[in-house]
Amino acid sequence: MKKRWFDKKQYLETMNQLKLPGILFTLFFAAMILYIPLRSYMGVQESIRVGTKTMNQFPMIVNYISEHSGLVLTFMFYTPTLTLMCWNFLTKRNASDFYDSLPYKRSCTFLTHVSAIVTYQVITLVLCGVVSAIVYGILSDYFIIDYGTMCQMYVVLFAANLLCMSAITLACMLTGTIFANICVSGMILFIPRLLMYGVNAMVNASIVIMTDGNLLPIFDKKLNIITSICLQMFDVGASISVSEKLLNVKGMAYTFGLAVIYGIIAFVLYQKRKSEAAGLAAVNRRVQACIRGVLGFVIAFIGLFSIMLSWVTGTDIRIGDIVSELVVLVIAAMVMLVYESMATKRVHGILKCIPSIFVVYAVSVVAVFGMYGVVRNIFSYQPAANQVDAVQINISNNQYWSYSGAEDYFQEMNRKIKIDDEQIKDILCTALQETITAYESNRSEEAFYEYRRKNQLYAYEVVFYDGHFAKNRTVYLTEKQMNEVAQRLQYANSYKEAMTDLPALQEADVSVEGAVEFTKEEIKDLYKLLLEDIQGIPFAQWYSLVTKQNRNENEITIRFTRDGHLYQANVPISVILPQTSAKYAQMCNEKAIQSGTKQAVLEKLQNSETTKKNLESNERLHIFIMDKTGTIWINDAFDTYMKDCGTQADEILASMIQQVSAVDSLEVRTQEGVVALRYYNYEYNEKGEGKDTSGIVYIPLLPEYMTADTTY
Amino acid sequence: MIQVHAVSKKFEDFVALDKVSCQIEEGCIYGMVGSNGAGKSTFLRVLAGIYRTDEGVVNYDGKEVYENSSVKENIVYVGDELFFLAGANMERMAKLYASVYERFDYERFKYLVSVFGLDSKKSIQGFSKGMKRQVATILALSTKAKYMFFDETFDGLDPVMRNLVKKCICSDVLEYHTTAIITSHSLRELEDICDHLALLHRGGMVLDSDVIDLKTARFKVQIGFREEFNEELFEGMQIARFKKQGSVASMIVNGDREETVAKLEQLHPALLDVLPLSLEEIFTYEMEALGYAFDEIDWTAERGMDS
Repeated sequence: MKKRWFDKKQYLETMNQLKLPGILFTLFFAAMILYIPLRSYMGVQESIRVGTKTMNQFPMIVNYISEHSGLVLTFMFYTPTLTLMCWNFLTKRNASDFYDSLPYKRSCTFLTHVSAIVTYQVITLVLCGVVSAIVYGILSDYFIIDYGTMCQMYVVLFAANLLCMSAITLACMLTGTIFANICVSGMILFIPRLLMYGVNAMVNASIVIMTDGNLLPIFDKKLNIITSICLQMFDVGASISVSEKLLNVKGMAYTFGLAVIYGIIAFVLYQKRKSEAAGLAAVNRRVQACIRGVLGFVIAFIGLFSIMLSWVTGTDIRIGDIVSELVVLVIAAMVMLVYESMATKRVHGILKCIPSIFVVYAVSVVAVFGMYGVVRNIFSYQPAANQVDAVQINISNNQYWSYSGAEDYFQEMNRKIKIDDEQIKDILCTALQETITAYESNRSEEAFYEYRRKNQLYAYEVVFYDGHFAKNRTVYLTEKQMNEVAQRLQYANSYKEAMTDLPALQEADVSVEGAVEFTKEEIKDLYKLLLEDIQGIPFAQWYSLVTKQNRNENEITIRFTRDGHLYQANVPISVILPQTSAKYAQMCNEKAIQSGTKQAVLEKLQNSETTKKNLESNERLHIFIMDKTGTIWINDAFDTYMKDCGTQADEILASMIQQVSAVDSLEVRTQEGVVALRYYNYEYNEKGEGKDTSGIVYIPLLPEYMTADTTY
Repeated sequence: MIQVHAVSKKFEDFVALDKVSCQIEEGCIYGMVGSNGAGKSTFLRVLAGIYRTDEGVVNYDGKEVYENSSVKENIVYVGDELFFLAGANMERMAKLYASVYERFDYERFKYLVSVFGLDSKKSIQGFSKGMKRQVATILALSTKAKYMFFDETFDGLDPVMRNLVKKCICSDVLEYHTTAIITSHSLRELEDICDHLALLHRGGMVLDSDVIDLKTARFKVQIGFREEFNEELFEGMQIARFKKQGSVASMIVNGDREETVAKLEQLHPALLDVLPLSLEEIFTYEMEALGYAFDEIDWTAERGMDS
C-alpha cells in the first residue's frame, strides 16, 4: 500500500523530472559563486602589479552579501522554474487525470513534489556555500569573509526560495493554466506588499507629520524578503541595503512563516482540487471572480484612497483629480476584462464579469472608508512622556555612501538604539503634540510650511515605542528643543554605549582616507589612540563629530562585522580627538619629509607664481585650517586663500614658509588648531601607471592665519 | 466487484452523470457505449477515482475508490487524451509506471513492445496517434493491474492493431482474471469483445446487460400466412415490435427461441424465418422500449466513422 505522506519512488521520479532545470541552474550558480572571488583576486593582482595597491592593504574584509547578491536570482528564476515545472501537470487535462489516477493520496503527491523542489533548492544553496567557503579559504591572504554572515545569508535565501515556492504552488492550486499560474503567482507574491507600500507611501507623502517609516509594523519593507529585493528595482525600499534586507531576523522569520502559511493553504487546496480544473483559468467561477476582482480592486482602491487623502489633508480637489479618478476606475475595469479574456480565452465571458466590476468598486469604497479611520488615528496619537517606553531619533548624515554594501555604523545605531531618557521623551512628546495642534489649524501643506518657516522649526524623524507598535512621526522642534535633546543624549546610556562602541583593533579593518598612504602598523597605532580619545572626550563632542552633515577632514574608516552586518564607521580626524589628530599630523609630516612632499610644498610656497594662481592640472595645493574647537575655517585652494588674506598675505606666507621649513623638528599641538597644506601631484606614464607624490604637511595654527576674509 | 450507486457528477451547470448505478463483476470485459457527451469518459474517471462524485459512491469490494491508494493500486487508467512525459521514450515511461505500480512486469513490457513492433528507445512525441495509443495500452497491460480502464482505446488504431489490442486485453482477462472496462462511441467496436454492455445517454445509464443475454433473449421473426392475420394471432408471446407488410410480418420477440419457434410452427405459417439481431438493433429496440426516440442517438454518425 502506498504511503500517506511521502513516497520515495515518486520523490525520485519527481527529482528525475526536474533534473534539467535543477542541474543547469545549480551549475550556473556554482559558476557564478566561483567567478566572484576569482574576479576580485584578479583585480587585486592587477592593482598590485600597477602599484595602486600593496600587500600591506590585505587581507580586506569582503561584504559577502553585496558581493554575492546575484544569488537572489535563485528565487527570481530558479525556484519559479522548478515550481511551475513541478506542478505543470495541473495545467493539462491528460496529465492531471494521469496523476490523479495513480495510487497516491493527494497529501503524498503534494508533499513528495514539494520535497523534490526543496531538495533542489537545498542542493544548490549548499553547493554554492561550500564552493564559496573553499575559494575564500584558499584566498584568505587577500580576503576575509564572515562565515557566520555567509551561513545566515544562505538560510535567508532558503527562506525566500521557500516562500517563492509556496506562493507559486498556491497559485498553481488555484488555477489551471500556465498563464493563470504565472499571473496569480505574481499577485500572491507582490500585490499585498504593493498595496501596503502604496498606502504607506501615499500616507507618508501626504501627511507632514509622517516619516518614510511604517504606518503599521506589517508594512515594514524588510519583512518580506522577496518583495523587498524585487521591488527595489522600482525604487521601493531602495534606500535599504541588500545586506540589511537579507540579514533582517524579523524578515527571515516572517518569510519563513509566510512560506509555511502559503504552503499549508496550498496543501489544503490540493486536497480539494478537482482534476477537471486542469486547463481552466481557475478551479471554479468564484475563484476566477476573486482573482480578477483583486486585480481591479488594487487599482480602484489606490485611486480612491488618493482622493480620500487629499480630502483629509485639506488639499484642493480639482475637476482634473475627479477625472483622473474616473480614468483609474475605468482602467481597473479594463484590467479585469482583459485578464478575464486572456485567462479564459473566451471573449463572451467578458459580459458575464461586468457585474463584478461594480462589486469591486463597492468593495474599494468600503475599504477606503476603513482606511479613513486609520488615517484619522494618526492624528489622535499624542502620547504623554510616561506613555512612551522609548524613542528613536533617526539621523542621516548623507555623507556616506558605500559601494560595497557596508552600512554606516553611526546612522544604523541611531536607527536601532532606543532612548528611554525621560527628558528626551518629554521634549519629543511635547513637540509632537505641538506639531499636531499646529497641523490641525494649518491643514494644507502650504499653510503648515509657512507656520514652520515663521517659527523656525526643524524636522526630526522620531520613532515612538509605547508597548504596542512603533510609530514613526516627523516631529518639528525649535532650536532650543533640539539643543536640549543633544545635551541629554549623553545621559541615555544604551545610546551612548552604542555610539562609542567601536570594535577592538583585532576585529577591525582600519584605513585612513586621504592623500597619504600608511602602513598597517601605523594605522593600528592611530586607531589605538582613537579608541583612547573616544573614552576621553565628552560624549556631546563625539556625537557632534560623527553625526555632522558636512565633512572635509580626512577620515579614519573602520570596517567591521557585528551581528552579521558589515558596518563602516567614518570618523573625521578632528582636533577634538587630541591624541589621534596629533599623531596623524606627526605621521603625515614624517611621510612628507620622506616622500619629498615637504620640499615640494616649500617650493610652491616660495614660488610667488604658484601662490598666486592655479597650478597645472595634475598638481594642487590646498590649505585646510581647523581651529581648536574643531571648526573648519578654511578649506580652499592656496592661491584663493592668499587672495583672501589681502594685505597680510605676504606676512602669512612668510610665516608659513618658516613653519614648513622647520617641520622636521616641529611639534604640532593640534589642541590649538591646525593648518594642513595638502599637496596633490599625480604623474602617469604612457602605460597609465601612476606615481603619487601627494602628501600633507601639518603646521601649528597661528592666530593671524585666520584673518583671511573667508570663513568656511 | 465494482459497485456504482447513484453516482452524479456535474461540471458547473452541465450534468455529466445523473444517478448512474451499475455493478461490474470481476474478470469481465465491460463495454460502455454512448454518443459524444453521453458521460462515458466522466464515468470512467469516476470509476478510476480521478473525479470525486457529487453524489453517490463507487466501491471496489466495499472500499471507496476516491483518495484510496490501496484501491487505486489495482487500477490502471488509459484516458482518451494520453499522457506521456515530455521527450520521453517508452522505456522512460515504463520506468515511471514501474515506480508507481509494484506489479509492473518489464518482461511483459518488452514482449508487448516486440509484438506491437514499436521502437522503445524512440521518443514517443514522434509517434503517430495510433502508435501512442498502442504505447499507452502496452504500458497499461504491463502493470498487471486488476482493473484496466480504456477510454476510446480503439480510436486511431488500424484494424490490425485494433484486433491485436483486443486480443491482448482478452488474454489478460483470461490469464489474470483482470476486469477491463472499455468505452467507445462505436457499438461495433465492442460487440465482439465485451461480456457486458452498457449504454449511457445524456448522463444516464439507459441499458446495462450481459451480451449473451442480450443476444439470446431477443430475436427477429419473419412470418407469413396465406390467410389474413394480425398481432392478436400471437397472443401469449412476448412481442416487442410488430410490423406487417402485405402477407408477411416482422416481429422482435423476447423469450426462449426454441419454445417460441415451436409455438409459431403450430400456427402453420407459409413462411417462417428466425433471424439473429445485431447489437445495434437490440440497442435501438431496447431504447425504444424505454421510451427514448430512435433519432435521439445518432447511430448514423458512428456508421459513417466505422465505414
